Amino acid sequence: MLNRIKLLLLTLLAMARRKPWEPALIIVAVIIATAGLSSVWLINEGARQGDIASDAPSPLAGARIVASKSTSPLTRQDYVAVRKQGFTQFIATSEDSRSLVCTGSEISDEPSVLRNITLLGVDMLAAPSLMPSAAPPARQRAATGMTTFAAPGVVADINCLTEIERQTGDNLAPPLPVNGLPDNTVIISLAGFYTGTVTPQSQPLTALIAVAPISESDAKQLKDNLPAHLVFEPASAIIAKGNLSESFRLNLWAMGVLMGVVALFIVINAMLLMYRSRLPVAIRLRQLGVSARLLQAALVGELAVYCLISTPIGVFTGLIVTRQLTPVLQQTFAALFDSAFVSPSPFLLTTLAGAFVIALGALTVFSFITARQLTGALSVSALRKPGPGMLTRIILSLVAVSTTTLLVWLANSTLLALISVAAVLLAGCLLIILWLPAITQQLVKISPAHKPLLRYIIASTSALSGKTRLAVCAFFIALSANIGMNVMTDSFRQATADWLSQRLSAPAYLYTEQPHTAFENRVKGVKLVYEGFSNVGQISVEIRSFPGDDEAQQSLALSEVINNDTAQAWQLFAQGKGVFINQQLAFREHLQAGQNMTLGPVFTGRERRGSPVMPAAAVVVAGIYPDYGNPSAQVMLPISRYSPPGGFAGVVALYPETAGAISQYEEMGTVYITDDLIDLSMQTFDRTFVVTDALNVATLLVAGLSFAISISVLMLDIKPQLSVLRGMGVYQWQIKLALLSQYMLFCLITALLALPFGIFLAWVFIARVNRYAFYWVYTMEISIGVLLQSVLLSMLVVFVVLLLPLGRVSPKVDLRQEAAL
Amino acid sequence: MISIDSISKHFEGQPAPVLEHLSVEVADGTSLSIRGASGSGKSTLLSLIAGFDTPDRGTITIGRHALPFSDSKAADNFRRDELGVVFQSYNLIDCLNVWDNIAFTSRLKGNADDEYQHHIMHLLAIETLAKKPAHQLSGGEQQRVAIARALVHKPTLVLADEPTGNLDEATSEMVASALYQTCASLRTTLVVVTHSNDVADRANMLRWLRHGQLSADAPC
Repeated sequence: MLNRIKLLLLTLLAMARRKPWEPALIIVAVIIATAGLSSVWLINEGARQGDIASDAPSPLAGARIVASKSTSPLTRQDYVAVRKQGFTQFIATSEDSRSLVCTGSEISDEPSVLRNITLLGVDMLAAPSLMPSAAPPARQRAATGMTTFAAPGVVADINCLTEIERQTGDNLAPPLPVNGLPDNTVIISLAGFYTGTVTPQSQPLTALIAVAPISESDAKQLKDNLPAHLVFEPASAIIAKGNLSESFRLNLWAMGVLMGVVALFIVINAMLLMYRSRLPVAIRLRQLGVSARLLQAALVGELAVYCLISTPIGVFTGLIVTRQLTPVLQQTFAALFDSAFVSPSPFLLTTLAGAFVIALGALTVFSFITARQLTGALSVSALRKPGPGMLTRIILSLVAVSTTTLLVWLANSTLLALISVAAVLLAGCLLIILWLPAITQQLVKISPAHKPLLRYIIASTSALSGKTRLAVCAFFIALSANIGMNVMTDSFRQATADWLSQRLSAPAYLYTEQPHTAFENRVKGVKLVYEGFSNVGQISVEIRSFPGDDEAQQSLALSEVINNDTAQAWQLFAQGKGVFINQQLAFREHLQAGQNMTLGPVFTGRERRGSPVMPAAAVVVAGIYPDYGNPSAQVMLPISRYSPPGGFAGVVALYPETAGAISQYEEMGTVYITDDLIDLSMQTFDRTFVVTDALNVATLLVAGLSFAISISVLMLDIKPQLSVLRGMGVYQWQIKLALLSQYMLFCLITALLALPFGIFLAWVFIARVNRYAFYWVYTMEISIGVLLQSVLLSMLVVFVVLLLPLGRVSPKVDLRQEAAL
Repeated sequence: MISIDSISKHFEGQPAPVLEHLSVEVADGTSLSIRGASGSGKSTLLSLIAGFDTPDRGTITIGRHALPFSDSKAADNFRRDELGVVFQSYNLIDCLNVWDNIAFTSRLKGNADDEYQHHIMHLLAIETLAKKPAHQLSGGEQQRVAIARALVHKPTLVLADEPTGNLDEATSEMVASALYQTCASLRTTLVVVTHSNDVADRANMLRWLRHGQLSADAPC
């Protein structure tokens, strides 16, 4: 037995030495697949970990003690008294809203005013763990000013390279990024805050903030002991979430799974290519008495060795690539999403395990496919069984299509929606496996006979199609997903653009920190926006005021109205009897227009603080409106019913009588012309999907690379044919063109098959995944440009990958080339 | 006329040259058969005549062409328009059927003639195989298809490497007859490398390859 195993292993070793491209193919395929896999997974993990860090409650969002009246401010003595009572979790803070000036940025050396940035002094001596102790980066060390901190997004927005100047004349160093800090705020130590002309008298303490949780009994004790001029406010009822949206997170997750599936197909394909190449020798070994089981064990053992060698290399390659990209990713995440991307080294073991699982899965599938074949592999003709007949193929196709359609139709949760996405892709793969050779054979029949090279290209493509089906499947999955996501994103973009154009109906908007009273004498030409917070059942909802005049009615598109009567809906709304709710609330609570719902007590602002301004009440859902990109449920109340002074959102719609009249509002805050605001929003939208687009292209690149490599390897089999063609007088450039055309024809056929599946996938993403994961839907827009972009990109990927091997095609003609086995 | 003047070829790693100062002249429209032991350099000689390889020394002239060609385009044009090759291992294009395999050379040259192709296929008794994929043919069938492909575009020179190596005696007789007759009718020069005396003896000029040189004398 041992002798037989030794003999078998020696034979396999000899085969590997004779055709070194076989083990090389497996190793390269596994490295490419696992490197792609680990890169995508590591990028996902970095984003996820960064997001978790961003989602952690801000250390400055705890309970607070503030002055009840501005006439009797919070003093140092109050701070000392509170801490003496044992409430040492409270630290003193003071705000300075005066403008800060950046003396030089990446864009300009000119000083620029940092609008809407508050400088917050924090007693860091009382809470040394609040800020990181790590050494500041070079640019901060180089600055002579005092150390400051801010949220990563704020650091990116400020983009200040030199120093920040206070109006007091003091200089601050540009802030260091720290997760979890409040928006629009730069943090500095109190010692640094009170310098020069800024004193506790001129700028009193603003609040004492609890940096650690406070129990209910302690809170009660504290409230009882507070002097009359101070008020205790409990911690915010809503924890501010990171700006990385659920949609984006789901995209990252889907990309990770997609890469996993593509990697699995790539590895299986490489294994089967090697197996096919070895088959003639395997048949001879079987004829010489080697058992099928022993042969298969030896083959699987050999493949396992290759996987063991190449998987860690691939994972480490992916890690290195990700590490190289980390600074770029960190900058991108901070700038685009106001979120952190952390270097995900602790994830390495899991990634390695995942990559080994993929390799093991591929080995299992390989064993399953080859087990039966090797048993009967006693002659080449025995293996040349015709594929399934036309009827079988039609039946299998119908079963696959109907099962997938049923799954998509019945999907009523996020999980089922995602399963139906997988079903669509797998059904597509099955159709490719069943029909690709038949399609290419039809192409051969219709190819022009008087063009021998063209006919050869198509016939050769057809001959290769049976051997490359799995590689085509991997490429198909990546391309379909690319098309699906691009169509979905484009539709989302279009829907968002339309929605923004409609919702932002005023010519301009003012974002201000002035109180609502500042507008008491400017009632004409302005509409104030009020915000609040409530709940419907267990769901927290945002409250927004909305006017009911004709202009406002034009600006709010309702996707569903009570009794299909828009006029009635607006009438109910204006009378305060009905409310409008967004799709997110309607889908979550299964509400329809005309139904009653109970709106909980309404609080002003964004947090459950103080007493409600409106009691709980039963209201009619007069209409439902789309509210793309908003992760929250929202209810709109008529402004006649909801305009509490504390609920002023700081946003004012401006309807100036003349264009010049807008300028009078500029002193009150930042004025955005609506067109600019829409442009800005759409730019932000486009940037949001940059990373998923990049991951998508990375997956496509990996699949394309593997596709091209497997075709290149198969081309080794037809090398003698190329010699014959050269021997018959075909020019070298014609040979290269023929090879390139074969690759591109494969790519084109795959792309044409991927188009309908990609479009269907986009519909599943919009109508199922979005519906159940994010509670919104929108109209699918099919743009020829977007489809062409995906197809051309995929072809470009393959084209670029092929340039190198094509350039190395040998012009030598070898008369004694042996025909391929 | 093919004129080979004192050519030598030495492959790296081999103790002696495979061809050494070999000279021969073959008149247009005539045939030359070359016999020799395995490994004596017969296929190498055909390779040099076809321009697939170049001699270390000496010259080869085929009609108005002096080999090696000055540029690869001229070499390609020569092979496309004037040369027909029967490869030892047939080298059919697997993905094409028999008809397309045979027609490939004439379509490439631009002188495809279905009637003539039928004629050649009839001579070689393969007309019933026209629609059959090449990879489904037996060794003997592949050999006859390869011969038809080498003749169908009416080349001026046919190089045949063991054209009947896989055929039974009767078929071998029929195929050799078709090959010689067709070349004679087209006034095509034919160079045949073979182990078969029956095939070789039909040629106008009989030669044996020994010690790197051609000899008119049969070995003892």
